[in-house]
Amino acid sequence: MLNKKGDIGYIIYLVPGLILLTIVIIVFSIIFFVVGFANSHTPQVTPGASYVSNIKLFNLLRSDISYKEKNINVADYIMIVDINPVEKDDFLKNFSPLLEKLPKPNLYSSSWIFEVRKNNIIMISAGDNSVSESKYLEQEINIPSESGDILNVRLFLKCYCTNEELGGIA
Amino acid sequence: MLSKSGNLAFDAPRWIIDFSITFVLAIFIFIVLFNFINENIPIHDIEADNVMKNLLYSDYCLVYSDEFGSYPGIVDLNKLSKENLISCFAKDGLGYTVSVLDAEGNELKSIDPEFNYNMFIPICKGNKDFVCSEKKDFVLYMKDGKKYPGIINVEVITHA
Repeated sequence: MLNKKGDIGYIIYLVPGLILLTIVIIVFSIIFFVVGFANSHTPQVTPGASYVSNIKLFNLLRSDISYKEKNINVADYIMIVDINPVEKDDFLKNFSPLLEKLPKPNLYSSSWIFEVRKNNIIMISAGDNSVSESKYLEQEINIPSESGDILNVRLFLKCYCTNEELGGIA
Repeated sequence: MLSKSGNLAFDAPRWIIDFSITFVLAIFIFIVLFNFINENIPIHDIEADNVMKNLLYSDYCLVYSDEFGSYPGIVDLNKLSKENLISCFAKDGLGYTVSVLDAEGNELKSIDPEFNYNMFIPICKGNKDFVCSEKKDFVLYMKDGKKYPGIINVEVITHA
């Protein structure tokens, strides 16, 4: 009798148990395989190009360029332009060749843009602004000016680039 | 007798059903584990970035330093040596070479630390066993106590 009861109980619980098991396997199959396949094209590791430090801009600001037959660093030259805006054209003439030396992807239209803003108004802008593509690898530093204002210095690459192309520019 | 015949009726199917359920679950777990273990996570890019960051930020690597402190981003050409690079950053399954160029693109110094993988750099392109990349960054380098603008060029190879 016990065996018989046990057998009946087994049949009673077997069908709902199998249905539940099937549901669990289907749900987990969707999570592991269908969702996994859908996400297989999104990179699991953040591309190197996303890890941007300000070192490029920092190096640019402490590079020496010519000013009245002597060398001063770019940050000091910006201070001079801030005090005396007439110096801006000379600054651009001396600074632009240095900006051109920054490595960029081998594309026909890509350009590094260097901007200095004071009170959110562009004070200095160097680089080929005619390139109308997206901004990449943006770096930003705030430096105090002698007038007491904060100068916001930005450097970014304008190009129509893929992550692979940007990956070569550290 | 009834209960015995009942047992006979259910013993064989019950064994098969239990085994089938266990088998299906085992196969499911095996497939999930197999997929997870064999998943190919591309980490070359982050490895290459890690090499560059170490070279430019670590005092043990190429960073110029004097009695006042260290200057990340400024390369000391005297530190660019095979021995220094090996002690600075080495990892199994990874190789790299470092070159420093002046602003005009002329090579100032190039070092191959001769890691095991470095011998495969020339044949890396088109070889499915390896992944290679080249990274460039704008740096300043010290020469005769003066700093000059330049480019650091790092070629990195990892196993695919």
